[in-house]
Amino acid sequence: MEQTLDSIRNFCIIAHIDHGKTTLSDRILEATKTIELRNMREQTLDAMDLERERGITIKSHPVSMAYTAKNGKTYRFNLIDTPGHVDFTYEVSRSMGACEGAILVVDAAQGVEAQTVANTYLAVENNLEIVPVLNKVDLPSANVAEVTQQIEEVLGIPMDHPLLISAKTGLGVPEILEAVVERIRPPVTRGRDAPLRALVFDSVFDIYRGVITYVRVVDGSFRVGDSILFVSSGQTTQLREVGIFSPDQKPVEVLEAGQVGYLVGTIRDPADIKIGDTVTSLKDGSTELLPGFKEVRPMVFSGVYPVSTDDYEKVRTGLEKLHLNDSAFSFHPESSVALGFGFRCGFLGLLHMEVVQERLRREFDLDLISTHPSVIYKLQLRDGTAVDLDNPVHLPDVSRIEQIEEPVIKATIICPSECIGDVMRIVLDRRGEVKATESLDAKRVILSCLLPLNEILIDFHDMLKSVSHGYASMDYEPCGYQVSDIVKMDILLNGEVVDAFSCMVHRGKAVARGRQMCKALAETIPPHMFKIPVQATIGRTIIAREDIRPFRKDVLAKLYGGDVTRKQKLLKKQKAGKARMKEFGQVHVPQSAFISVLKGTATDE
Amino acid sequence: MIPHLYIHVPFCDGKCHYCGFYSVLNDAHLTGLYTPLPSKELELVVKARPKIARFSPRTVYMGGGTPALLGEAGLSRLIERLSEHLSFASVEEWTVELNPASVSRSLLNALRKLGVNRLSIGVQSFNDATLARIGRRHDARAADQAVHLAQETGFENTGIDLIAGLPGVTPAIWQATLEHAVSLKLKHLSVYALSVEPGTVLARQKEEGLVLPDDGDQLSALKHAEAVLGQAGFERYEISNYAQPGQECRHNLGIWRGNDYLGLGPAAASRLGDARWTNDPDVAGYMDSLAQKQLPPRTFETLTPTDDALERVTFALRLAEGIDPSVVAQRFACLRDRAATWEERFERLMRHGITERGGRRWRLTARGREICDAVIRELL
Repeated sequence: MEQTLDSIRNFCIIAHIDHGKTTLSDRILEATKTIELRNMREQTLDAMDLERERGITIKSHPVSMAYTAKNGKTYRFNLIDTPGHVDFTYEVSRSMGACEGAILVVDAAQGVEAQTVANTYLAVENNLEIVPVLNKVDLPSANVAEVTQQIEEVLGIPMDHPLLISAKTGLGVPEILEAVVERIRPPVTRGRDAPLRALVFDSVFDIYRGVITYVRVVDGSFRVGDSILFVSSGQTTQLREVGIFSPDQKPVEVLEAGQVGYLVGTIRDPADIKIGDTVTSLKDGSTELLPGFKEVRPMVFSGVYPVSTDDYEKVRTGLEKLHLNDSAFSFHPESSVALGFGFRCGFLGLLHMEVVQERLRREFDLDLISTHPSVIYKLQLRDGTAVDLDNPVHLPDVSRIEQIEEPVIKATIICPSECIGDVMRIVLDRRGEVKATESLDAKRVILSCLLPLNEILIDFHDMLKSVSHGYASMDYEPCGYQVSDIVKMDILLNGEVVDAFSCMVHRGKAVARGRQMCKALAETIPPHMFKIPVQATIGRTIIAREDIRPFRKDVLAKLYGGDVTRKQKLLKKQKAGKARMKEFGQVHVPQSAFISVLKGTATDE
Repeated sequence: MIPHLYIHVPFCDGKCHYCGFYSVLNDAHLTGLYTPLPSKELELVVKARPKIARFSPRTVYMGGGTPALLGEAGLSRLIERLSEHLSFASVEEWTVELNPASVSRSLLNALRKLGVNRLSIGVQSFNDATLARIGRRHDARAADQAVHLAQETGFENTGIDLIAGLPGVTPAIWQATLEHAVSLKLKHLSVYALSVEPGTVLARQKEEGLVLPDDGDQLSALKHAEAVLGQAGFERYEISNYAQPGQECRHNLGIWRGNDYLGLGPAAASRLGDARWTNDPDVAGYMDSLAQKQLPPRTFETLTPTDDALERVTFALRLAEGIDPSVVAQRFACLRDRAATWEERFERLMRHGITERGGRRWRLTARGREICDAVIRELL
């Protein structure tokens, strides 16, 4: 398809969760008659229940549309639906790197939220033209004037011609399409004959064709048969297919500068493709990387174990399959004294962790236990060596450790003004620091905070939501490391360490956390035949203890011929119920116990 | 050869509030029709399993229901007909369950003549108010008289049943009942913790708010019984059973030790090799089927060798004699691997005061007896 650069518009839609990004995408597809409405859901989005349930998108879903504007010219719109959650900031920024503009959707009733701010900053960093729109203006609770003012003041975006829409009814959508043409600039290139450079913004795996790489061509062009080079990874391949999203993948002869499309070579392992990498031709290619590339590394780690050891291979298969389309998480086999064989998994963040674990459970029908999440601690040993620690179990003997550094995040929290005190208290309680507060409008404030990452691993979001009655929103990004007094806390059941519960905590918070974990375990582990002490220890010192009282009585009074077989069956069935629990020493621990220690909302008085 | 025979007589002259056993209201016409039926059932069972023809049980147990409601003539006829298909020649112990209300000298004489040598009298309590509260149709005096009459008629081996943890029973009342029982010079005593069986009057009363003793109260009543009876020379040879030395119920011992048994009558259960069956609790169905020379409606199944073996060995934990894992391994090859792990399990439980070792055998401690089922689950 011949296409002048002038008639191409590459853009994305950015929004806070539930502000209407997906609905607006649907309306745009409908307005450009790209797909029939009834097929839309299945075709435009991976039909991943979890994504829809949680209102998050994990993958990019580019789609190409033809739009005939009022000026009579036909334009090629490439809409890149970006991953929409906090853990995927880097992926979002690379998707933005493939665009010249962004439609910023703000809910006219809710106003600017944490992700609105974070996404806008990202868009500005990526030099995108931002087209702000106020969605849901038909709602009675919409407050156009105030939200307009927020966008101007907080985000610094001029609102001379605010676009007022209702993605639900389609009101204002034609105006958006015109605004895309008028306000978002066409792609700029050094030329279609210049040395090839294209930006990798995502990849998916197809069992027949292997890895399919999504690219935005910046300079030059791709043709089938070309040999290409991924500059950062050094990976090379020969192209077997190039194409565009129209909206399904559609092969084309040539993919040219300014266009968004996909490449199919002979690469089978998605881990070979790095998002943000630059693709060029193997011969006489450009040596110049496109800006913004970085290696993403998992930040949060957790052990994932099958409840039944027989399921180990099933877990491996599940992880491998998920990894094909989400190479952002890492996994490698590990073993735990308590849990047997499993995998250490690394995730980009908390939500990412939850999503991957939930997908394993649902899509592969696995009963899983996940261990206490951990971050990467940087250890300085006395002998001068440096160690990265992602699993407390591997902590060297404390006498060998000079110092421990923990990762810090920079968090942006938006909350109603009346609960700023509570929010600040939570932040301080989590060893955080409020760097700045700023009024968003008459009712809300923005807090900029620094927090140790390990303090938000457990229930931080829940606490935030709870004190703000659900109104607080948060976004965060990594912000280096700090030296900290971190110790390893173990949990003992019936006198035996259960390594799956071991975690790293700040010394000052160990007692409270230990009590909380002991209490949670004592409440979820059912009574046994004997008393079970649940203890938290640091080294050899016991810092907290709870006892699980034994059950009083479990015996049939009368057992004669008539009952024997029936009774035996009943005992066998009860026994089978226990098989779903993990047995440590003589203690049966249900899955709910693993979840309860991770919730840990029980406040200690 | 089948060592144990059970005959169920499913008639009662009323329903006690706690009773979950199968019975129907007594009716002279029905009992008349019933007497020849266990024999007919046996004939059909033998037809299907010729190997057991004319077997010669070592123990016979007639329970119910109230066997005495068949009358002296009825009981004689029942036994007479049965002896067409089996031999009573080797019977060492022959027990009949009796209700104090239906004991008479002539009945006892008739039973003795048949060969019955052991009586189990359902006393439950020696407190009149308690007896009335649970729907018993006799008082303490009648129970007393029944025991004395039995002993006078020459039934040396006479025992009674008591229930611990009945509603409204204070520690003082329980103490009095136990002391009275001890004074009767009995050979055997069963002390059951009250359990609420589905479908009973008691279950309904509980639903309606009747407060029953909690687990703690019940356990302390049982503990008290063990102390009082122990002092009087009774050994607690099973969770709920006490006997003077050598007077244990051999029939039930055989079942707890894992022997085969044949049960006749509605709701009766049988264990023969890997076969298990239980007749439906349905007198009408029982009668109809046998009239048509068909086995009564029942549930039948064949167990796997492992399930069969486990059932036969694990309930021995209820007995004071306990379990010897090495003997289990010898008796059942299919349990060899499992029994090998028991030693370690018992040892760990010993550290918590749940099991104890006596020579090569493992048995439950006082605490272990309170949670016997949980220990058995460990062995499965």
